[in-house]
Amino acid sequence: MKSKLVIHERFEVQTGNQLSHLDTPSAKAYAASDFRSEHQKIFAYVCELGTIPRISKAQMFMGFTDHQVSLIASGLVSIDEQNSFRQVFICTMPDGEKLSTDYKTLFTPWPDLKVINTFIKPISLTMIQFLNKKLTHRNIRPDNIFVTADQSHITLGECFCDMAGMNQPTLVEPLEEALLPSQNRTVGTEYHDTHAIAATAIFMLTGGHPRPELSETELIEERLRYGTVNAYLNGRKVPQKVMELLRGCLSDIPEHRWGIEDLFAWANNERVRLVGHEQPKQARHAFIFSENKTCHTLNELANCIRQDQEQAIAVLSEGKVPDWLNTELQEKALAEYIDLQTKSAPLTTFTSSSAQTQKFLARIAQCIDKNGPLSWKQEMFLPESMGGAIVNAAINKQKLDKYREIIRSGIWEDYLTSSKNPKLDSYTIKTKTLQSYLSSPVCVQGIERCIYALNIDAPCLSTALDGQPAYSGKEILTILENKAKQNDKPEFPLDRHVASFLAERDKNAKLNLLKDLESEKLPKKISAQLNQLAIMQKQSGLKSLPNLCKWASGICKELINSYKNKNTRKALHSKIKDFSAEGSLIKLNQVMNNQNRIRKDMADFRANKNSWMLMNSEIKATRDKLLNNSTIPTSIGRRIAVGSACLLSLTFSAIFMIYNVLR
Amino acid sequence: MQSSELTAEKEKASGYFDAKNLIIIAMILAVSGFFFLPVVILVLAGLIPALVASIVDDDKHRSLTTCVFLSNMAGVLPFVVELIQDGFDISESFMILTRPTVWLGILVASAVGWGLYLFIPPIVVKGVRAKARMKIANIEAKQRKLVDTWGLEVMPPAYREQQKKE
Repeated sequence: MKSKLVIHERFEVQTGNQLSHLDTPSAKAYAASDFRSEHQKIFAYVCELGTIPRISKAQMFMGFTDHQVSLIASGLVSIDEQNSFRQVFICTMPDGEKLSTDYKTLFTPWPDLKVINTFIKPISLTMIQFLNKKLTHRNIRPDNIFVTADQSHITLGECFCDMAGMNQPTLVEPLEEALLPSQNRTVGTEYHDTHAIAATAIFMLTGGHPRPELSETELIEERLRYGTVNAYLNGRKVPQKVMELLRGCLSDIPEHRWGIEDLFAWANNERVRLVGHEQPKQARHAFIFSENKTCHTLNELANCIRQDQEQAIAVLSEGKVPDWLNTELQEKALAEYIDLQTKSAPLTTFTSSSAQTQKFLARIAQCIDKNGPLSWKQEMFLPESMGGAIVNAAINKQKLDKYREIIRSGIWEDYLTSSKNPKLDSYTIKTKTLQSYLSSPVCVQGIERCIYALNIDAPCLSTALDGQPAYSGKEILTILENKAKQNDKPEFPLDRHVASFLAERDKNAKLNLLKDLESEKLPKKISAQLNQLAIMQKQSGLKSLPNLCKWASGICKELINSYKNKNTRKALHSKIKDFSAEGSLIKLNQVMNNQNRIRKDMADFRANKNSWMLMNSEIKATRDKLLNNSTIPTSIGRRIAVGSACLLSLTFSAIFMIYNVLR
Repeated sequence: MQSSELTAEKEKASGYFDAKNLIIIAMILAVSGFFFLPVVILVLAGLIPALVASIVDDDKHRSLTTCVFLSNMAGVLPFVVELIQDGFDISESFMILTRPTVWLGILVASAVGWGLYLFIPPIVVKGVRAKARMKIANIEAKQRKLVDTWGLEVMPPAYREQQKKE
């Protein structure tokens, strides 16, 4: 790594001075300084490869004055001699140390008043700023909160180095999000942040993790069975005031949860909407789902169905579920619905991997727990989190077939219809768009386009970029220029990912040109590659890209060979070398993709093809007339003989007559 | 050559001796004989080689007849002049015709006509063919140049396959 990184010619990152105590799972922290304001306390986060920072909202994360690590600047920086690029964020330095680093270490519990005055009050004010900017933090957790030594000031850590909710432990996530793997989390709403604040408040009040004896899975099971508040408190007594906060923010029913304004009102002793004691309805006799799984609540049953689909089919086939729902939980309507569904579906013919089975089980699970996530072959997700799931699978080079199936299946549609959440209406339209992308194999469509359509923050995932982040055409070219020096580069600089990325991000992108980037016709493909590279260089303002130009020249050989005229080919081959040295993709494209020359070449070729045919006809005619048939030459010969005889006779006669006269 | 064409040519050739032409020739001879009988006798006798040539000539343009007639006439001309200078009577005509040197001159002149007819056409055929070959070679060179510049694709597929095999 370079010893110093400079961003925007203003900030300097000292990579030799690592600030490990500020590290996050997605980024490493380093000391930094501002050339213009040397006294400003700042530091830098250098993001790890494979992270997806919230770039689209970067501007919005600036300008927080207090209690929040504020973003000052961001940029893509080459971090080593090999020109590996990383996303770097310059941030304000928080005071103090992290509240917790490992969730296991215990500390002196904070008194409830201290939690309210030092944590809830200032943080709720900061969260109002988030709310006004229509942002969610989604990164509030004990190991991302900085507390001064005297515990008088709290600062929330960064929330832009990775996807929303990506690094959140299940402790701070609402139940429906906690059921998802971390990469499938959603951007969420203010309710997700209030949940995290309340969970952190419990962490402070209890002096550490409220249930350290439980693993993450066990904690989720407890929450499913007893409800989040009960699971976290585990019988612990808390003051009534705090209980109001916990019940309001940690409710498992999304509609009951407190928003930021509720939290602010509560912190300032204003009148608030109180949420009563909530506990999932418990069955006296557990439903035995499998040998080692029993369910006492609806949520538990829904979760079992989502997780073990083969067993779920078996259990539903037996028809015991409706009876249990009816007798143990008095859910008569639900029991009748499931009974009807299971009887009308040919369960015996279902295989756990079929789309029909997945949709059926999703519908059953959702009618049991309408707030729970969807599942498809053990993959848990929410419509809003599909983007994160696909992009992370793509980054980790996993197969994306499962996600194609999910989008094609329309499994979301039932969820969106029944959720009646107006915020999710856009996903109904989006689903149709995504399905249309998958209906065509052309370059700007397919699952790659879905990735960028669903993830506004996703960098271009082209294999040629080696996982380095690129969020614009300029950054793609910069990384490709570096890649061009390496021997292991792919044949063509631009691939399906670049095409889909530009189609989704660049409003001026020419879709027809992007489609041709993977054309089956090689000359067309090369022509499109050159054209697009030239457009990107023009738009980016990058003057010289010699290595990329050399790479592009390499692929031009096939394009040059598509010219019919050998002399043109020869001339173009010799010109290529000059362009490589100059580094101008624009000029290279102008020469190689000269449409007039291409048209003239074709026209000349056709004309010369006709000429060749005419010449051939002439040869044939000459052969037939003069070589294979002696009639005409003989006839000509005889006429010449007659002429000669005539000339000779007249000459002789004239000479004789002159001689005779003279004599 | 087709048999029908041959027949037509022969008919055309024999057309010179049809009734109309014979009457015209007979009338010319009668008129000429009335005024220049000694010359007519000498010329008619001297043109026997041309008459023979016209009989054996099967060319539609009667090239052989023309060649032999012209050279034959050139051979007879000096003796006609001699006849006119020496008295212009019938006996002198016969005197001239009895001299072997006269016949030698007439026959040699006719032979030159035959020679021209026999030797010039083959020479011309060879010349025309050589020129045609040169022309073909020239065109083929141009075609090769086109192939060099534009590749085998400039040829129709059938020729291309043939070229590839070669």
